[in-house]
Amino acid sequence: MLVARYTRRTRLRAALTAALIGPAVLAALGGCRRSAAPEPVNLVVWGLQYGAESKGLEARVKTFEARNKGIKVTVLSMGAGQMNPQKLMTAIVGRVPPDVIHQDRFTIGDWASRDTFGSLDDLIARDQKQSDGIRESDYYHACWAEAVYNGKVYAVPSGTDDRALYYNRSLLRDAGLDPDKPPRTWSELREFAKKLTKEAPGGSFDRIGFIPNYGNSFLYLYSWQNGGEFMSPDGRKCTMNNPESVASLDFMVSVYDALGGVTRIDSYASGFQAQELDPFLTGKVAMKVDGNWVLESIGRYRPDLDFAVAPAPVPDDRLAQTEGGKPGRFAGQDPFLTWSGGFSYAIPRGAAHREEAWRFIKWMCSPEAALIDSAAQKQYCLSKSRPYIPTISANKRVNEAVMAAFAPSSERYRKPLKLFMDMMPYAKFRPVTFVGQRLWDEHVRAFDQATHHKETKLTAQAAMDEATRVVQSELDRSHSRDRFPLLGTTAPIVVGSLIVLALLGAVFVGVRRVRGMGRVVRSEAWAGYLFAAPWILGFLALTAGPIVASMFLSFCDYDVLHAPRYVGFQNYIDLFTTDSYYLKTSLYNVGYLALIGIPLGMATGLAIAMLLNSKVGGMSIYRTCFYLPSIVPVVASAVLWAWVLNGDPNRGLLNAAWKATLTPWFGWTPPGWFGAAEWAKPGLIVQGLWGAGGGMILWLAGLQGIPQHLYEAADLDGAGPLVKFRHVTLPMLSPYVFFNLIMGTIGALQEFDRVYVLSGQGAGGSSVGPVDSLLVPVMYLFNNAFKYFKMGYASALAWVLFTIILALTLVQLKSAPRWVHYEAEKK
Amino acid sequence: MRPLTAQMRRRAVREFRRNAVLHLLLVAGSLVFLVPFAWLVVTSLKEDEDMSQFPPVWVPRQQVKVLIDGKEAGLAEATYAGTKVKAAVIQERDTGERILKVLEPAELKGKVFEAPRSAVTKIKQFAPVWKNYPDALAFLPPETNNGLVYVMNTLVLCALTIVGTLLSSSLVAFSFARLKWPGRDPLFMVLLATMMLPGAVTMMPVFLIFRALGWIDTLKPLWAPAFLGSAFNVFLLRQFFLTIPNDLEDAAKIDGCSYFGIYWRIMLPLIKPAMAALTIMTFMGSWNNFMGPLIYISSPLKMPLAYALQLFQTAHGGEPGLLMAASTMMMLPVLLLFFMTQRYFIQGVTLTGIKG
Repeated sequence: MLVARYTRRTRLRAALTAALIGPAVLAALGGCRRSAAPEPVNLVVWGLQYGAESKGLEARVKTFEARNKGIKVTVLSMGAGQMNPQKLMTAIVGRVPPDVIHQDRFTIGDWASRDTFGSLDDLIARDQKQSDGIRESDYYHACWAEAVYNGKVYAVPSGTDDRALYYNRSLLRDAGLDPDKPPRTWSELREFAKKLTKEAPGGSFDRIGFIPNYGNSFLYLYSWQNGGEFMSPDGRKCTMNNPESVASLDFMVSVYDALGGVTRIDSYASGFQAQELDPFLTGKVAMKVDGNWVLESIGRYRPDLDFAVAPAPVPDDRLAQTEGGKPGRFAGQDPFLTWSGGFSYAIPRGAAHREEAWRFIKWMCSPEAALIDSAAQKQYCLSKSRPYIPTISANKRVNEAVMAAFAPSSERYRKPLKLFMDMMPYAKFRPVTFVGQRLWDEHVRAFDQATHHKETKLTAQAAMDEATRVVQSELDRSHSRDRFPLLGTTAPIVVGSLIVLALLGAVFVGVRRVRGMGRVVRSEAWAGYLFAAPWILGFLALTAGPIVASMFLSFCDYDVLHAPRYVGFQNYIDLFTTDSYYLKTSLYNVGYLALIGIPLGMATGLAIAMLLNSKVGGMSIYRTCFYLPSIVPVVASAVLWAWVLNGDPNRGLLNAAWKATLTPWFGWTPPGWFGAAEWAKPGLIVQGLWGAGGGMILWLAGLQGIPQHLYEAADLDGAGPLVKFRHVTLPMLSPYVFFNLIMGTIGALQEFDRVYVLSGQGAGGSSVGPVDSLLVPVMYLFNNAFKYFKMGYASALAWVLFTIILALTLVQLKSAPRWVHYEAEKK
Repeated sequence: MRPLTAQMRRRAVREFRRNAVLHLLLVAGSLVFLVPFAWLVVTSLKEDEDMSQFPPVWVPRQQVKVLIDGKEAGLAEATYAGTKVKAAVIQERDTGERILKVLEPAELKGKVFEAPRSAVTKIKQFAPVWKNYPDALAFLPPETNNGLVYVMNTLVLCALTIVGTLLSSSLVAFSFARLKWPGRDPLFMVLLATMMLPGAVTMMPVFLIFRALGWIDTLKPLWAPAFLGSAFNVFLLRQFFLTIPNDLEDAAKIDGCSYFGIYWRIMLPLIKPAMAALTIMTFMGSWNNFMGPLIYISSPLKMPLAYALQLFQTAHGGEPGLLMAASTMMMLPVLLLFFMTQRYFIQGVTLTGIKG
């Protein structure tokens, strides 16, 4: 009787507890979704930057709010950073998109192709006749066409920009060059670059004449100048490796080589600062191809800078044929051209307030709003006693209105600004394609590979061939997508029901066994199940279920927005054939980090522990000192070390110490660390060693567990410290070595956070470290899963990674009996 | 007696030498480990123009200010008519020239002259640039209320994760350690095996689950799983529960205590040290959690600190003063917590190495 009452109480209590902290939490939270939108409508806008300098933008938005009572605009600036495409994709996929997105135009094709943005055609057509309607004829062709995909308009262009050559007139004069005759051809550009460069002792520079990829030009501009195109007109073929583009890349490489190689230049460039210490403003760079926005920072920080702007230099034969009238492939074309980019407003799919969003977009793109913007911004600039230099709009009417009222009064800025505006009709724009992001990433990678030809041994042609192949396979994959069947419901249902049956069976067996027990034992069993329920539930929902699902996904093509298609082993095949570069590189990198990093980390930890194990005073203080770095948050540590390991000895602490000691002693020049391909991984290892104190505590516990009599016995045998370490300490610590080895391997193969921060992935970086030297498997996986949303492919990669980890762990476990010494077993 | 004292003295000398060498090594090692911290703090207090110097500037300094005609002016060194003078910069032209008023030597005092920017050397003295700290906060989007939103998000996240972890892990560990039920040991092996599973394998499906629940862009995916126990913590606490003798439990049973009562009234108080260690480890874990927010959080207003710092880095990579000030602010709470709870902390780490 008594027992029965206890069991009831036990069950009740246990059930209550389990209900409290287990599934109920999940269910309850799932229930409280956000309620319907409150009045007034809250219009969420992403991608606009509010800050101290954005008075004009604020005025535009404020006026909109004042004229549209009932709409409140929330501008979310993505934490002061740039728009991170991965965040936007996640928000759309996760069904919580913003209402309006201010998005870089060249990615519109990519977003449109995935059905992530909605077409604006109906709205544009509807308001065509209204005064505030959006009309194609008002816009520069390059700007409008960039927002059109497959004949549909997906975004309204807002601001635009184009590029030209900035040069420092006084530096030209100092070098004996005529400041009124800037370079007009590529070979002149290279000559000027050499003449304007001043080397510093110790392998660095005092000044560089011209860095082809510094500023804002990229291979795209050089390639267009030479008549190359990256995509075929129908958008089905990637033509990046055409002879013209390859020749352009060759030219860029030749400038780097003429100035001493990309690694030296990058190491110098890693010291470049922003704003008033911008290298062009401080004379550390004499010429650069950059956008019209640079005028603003010159006006703000260096009103005394003697500079001028000219069209970006073009291939020699282009100028000879267009201006000199010589026959050739450029005959009849314009001599100079520029590259225009910029932003645009789009409405993501699933946005809650489409009508209000459209009203907002129309306002933001109107000449009236631009005038309000300019007035507010000009007032702000005057209050800071700097000149106001208008930005360029994609809308010609806006530019006319703004220039009529707000053109800079000083010739110094008016002339360059006019040049930028006059160049707009000669602007090229990046191809509108759904592989836009990939094309960009790969072209940066090809540039990276070709300029680092000393390390990669790749010619420009080979690098471009490889990039073309990758983009083409992406195109083909997408075009052949329909070939694969939609994932049938049969397979998941069969597997699902099998699993459910197996679970039911297990429960049935369990229940029968419990039934067959005595009362007391039975109540204990029930309590045991109930208490363990949270974990069992978590295991089923967040581990076992996902493992099965991940298995399925790895055989599918799945982008979350469309139904999955069954592709068989295609993901695995791609991984080992077309994409083997990524797999090989990432595994090599992670292997490097593990093979060198883990032993070094263990040795450092053990060395510190042995020092701390000696009996001297002040141990707790020393212990704190050594331990402290290991508790520093990973992100903060990475930020700090990116600074400590800055390649420029004037800025990086370690290189300053290096320059003061190793350089004069041995003549070694300081390494480029995260800026140089062969030093990025050692940099990561050095940063990891800083946290090696974390493992020290464990080693200390191990050392203190070694019986003192073993050392005394060794002393009697006349053993020296080395012998004692080799034959007493190490064997006695072997279980700890083993533990660290297993945990270290599992951890190292999943390296991610540090790499993400140190390689600047958040800023939209394409290659992970120079020449992908920091590309690790989980980084590659993350990019595929949450940047490109190729869930199936990422799952296949996860399984490959899992297999490798499992194999390594098993090998270690198998080898353990041979060298791991457990004291207990011997007894 | 004499030879013995000599021997003792020699031994004492040897002992002293050994200790001296050890201290030397320890101090040198500690310095190496602490220098990056110092560099961080120093950088956060330096002027921009001192960032790029060789040899590095270790003392934060600023230009000395003097009052000239009721206005504040910077003190500088320049050459006036062939003599080196100490002068105050009374005006800076747009074109870069400085207009200076001589202060020393006395015979030239009061003379006003113009000099190009490059011919004027600022006179500086020790003065930390505290301004970097408020400036870093001011650069955050206004809607984050000077970053307070990030702190709140992080604290909420930490608190919920700790509560969830403590409750669920201890309950599950108690079940695995002290209760007998069919299938317990095989399940425990499964639990151990899950510790080897790379998170990457389950990452995508788990994302899809939380998406189906409508939890994207909320903090829930980051803390809710804590309420379902984690293999590592369960393992840790189980090892602890196993060390508690059976007598207490048996006595409680005889007194009519329920299983929950045994867990709550007898077992939990006994594993307090382990729970304390677990609390701190969980706090650190969720304070530092980076990949979680990276995947799940899209709105700036819902971001925790670790992710906000990374965003700040992408935006202000060229302004080390601000960046290091922001990093210092993010690190500070963790360091303070560490100093206050060192004992539990180190205990916790030692626990993780328990063989089993």
